[in-house]
Amino acid sequence: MLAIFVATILSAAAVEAAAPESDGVSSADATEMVLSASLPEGGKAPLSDDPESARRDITIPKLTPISIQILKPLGSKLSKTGETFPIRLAAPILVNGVEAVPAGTEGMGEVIHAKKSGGMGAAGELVVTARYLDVDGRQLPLRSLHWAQSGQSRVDTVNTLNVASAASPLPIGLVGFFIGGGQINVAEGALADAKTAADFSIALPQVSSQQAGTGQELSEGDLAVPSGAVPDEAVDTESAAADVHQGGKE
Amino acid sequence: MIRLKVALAMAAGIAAISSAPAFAAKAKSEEKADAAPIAIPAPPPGKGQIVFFRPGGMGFALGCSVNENGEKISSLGAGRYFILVTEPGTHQYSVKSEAKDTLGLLVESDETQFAKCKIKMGIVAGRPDIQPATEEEFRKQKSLKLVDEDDMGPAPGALRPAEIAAALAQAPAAE
Repeated sequence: MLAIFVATILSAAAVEAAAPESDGVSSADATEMVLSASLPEGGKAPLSDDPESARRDITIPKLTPISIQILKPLGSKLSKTGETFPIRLAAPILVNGVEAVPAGTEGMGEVIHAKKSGGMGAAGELVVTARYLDVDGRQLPLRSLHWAQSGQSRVDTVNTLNVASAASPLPIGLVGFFIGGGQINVAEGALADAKTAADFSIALPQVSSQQAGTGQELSEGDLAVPSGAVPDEAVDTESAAADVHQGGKE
Repeated sequence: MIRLKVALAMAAGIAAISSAPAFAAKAKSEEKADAAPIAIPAPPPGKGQIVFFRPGGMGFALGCSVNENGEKISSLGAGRYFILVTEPGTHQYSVKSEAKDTLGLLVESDETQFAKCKIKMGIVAGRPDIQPATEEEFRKQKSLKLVDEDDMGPAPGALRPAEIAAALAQAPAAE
């Protein structure tokens, strides 16, 4: 009799455990259930011991506008074509409100063209670009740093002198050989706008239980729930599950 | 008979005088039409483009022929412009007369850049000087005209008028 009673209890438990799989629920629901199931007593979960499993990927889309700081003085007279210079991310790159790349991340720019001003009023010229940022040991390619300028040209002044010279017995037009154009200078620390040149996936560390959302307005990062770890507050598990599912696609 | 001739001549004179303002107005409206902002088509997807222009002024009789890798892209007379669609990457454009001047530009996909040619004083003749420029400088120029097709280098190079018209018909003008 006791054996029958024990067998009945065990079979009922087995049927209950198998029920979620047999209901044909969506993968998101299934993930929700898995998440719910992984919640220990009190809804708190320890962070995973495996650092790789406690990270998730997000993608910085191509052409995301960024602000960079030039860390070396540049100039049409100072710089040489082809030389590189250090740059730094001036403001963090945010993806859906989540900081994907922190401010201060360093990278490299390049002088595409530099020509110092010359005689006869010719202006100095400087064309520079941002090449990449170093993110987690990889290069996040950059583009569209529009800093292609020429200095103040005095060619028209020299030409006016030439016209005056033609009407004058004095060869004042020769003065034009000694009139230089303006130089272009970029001060150290100058800010410039650029864009990311390609989609760039980055693994973000899992937020700790202390950093998790307060239940008011949860950001995407707060909802990050990779395997075995969830924030400790009242998380909208459906959204969290969807977020995990999206993360899994990438 | 003489009176009739005189009357006809006077009538013709009055008609000519009265129609003069109309002619002037027509000429002005044509001028205004010419002064309408130049429409620059967006570059084809994955390509970049550069608008080369030459402000009017001194040295109008001198040519400013823009070349890349020794091959002529187009001549650039005073008050003229042309559009070059090209592959993204670094390009070196040169102009040459008494002396050679080169400009390096980084062409980026789906973007339009600007460059100008000015003629500066030389020992024997004027020297063309090619420089980076901005759209603002380009728009400031009054009555720039597209380079004549026969002054352009071998195709594909500078966009021909028909190609510009077709590109504008397909897509709105670049910002």
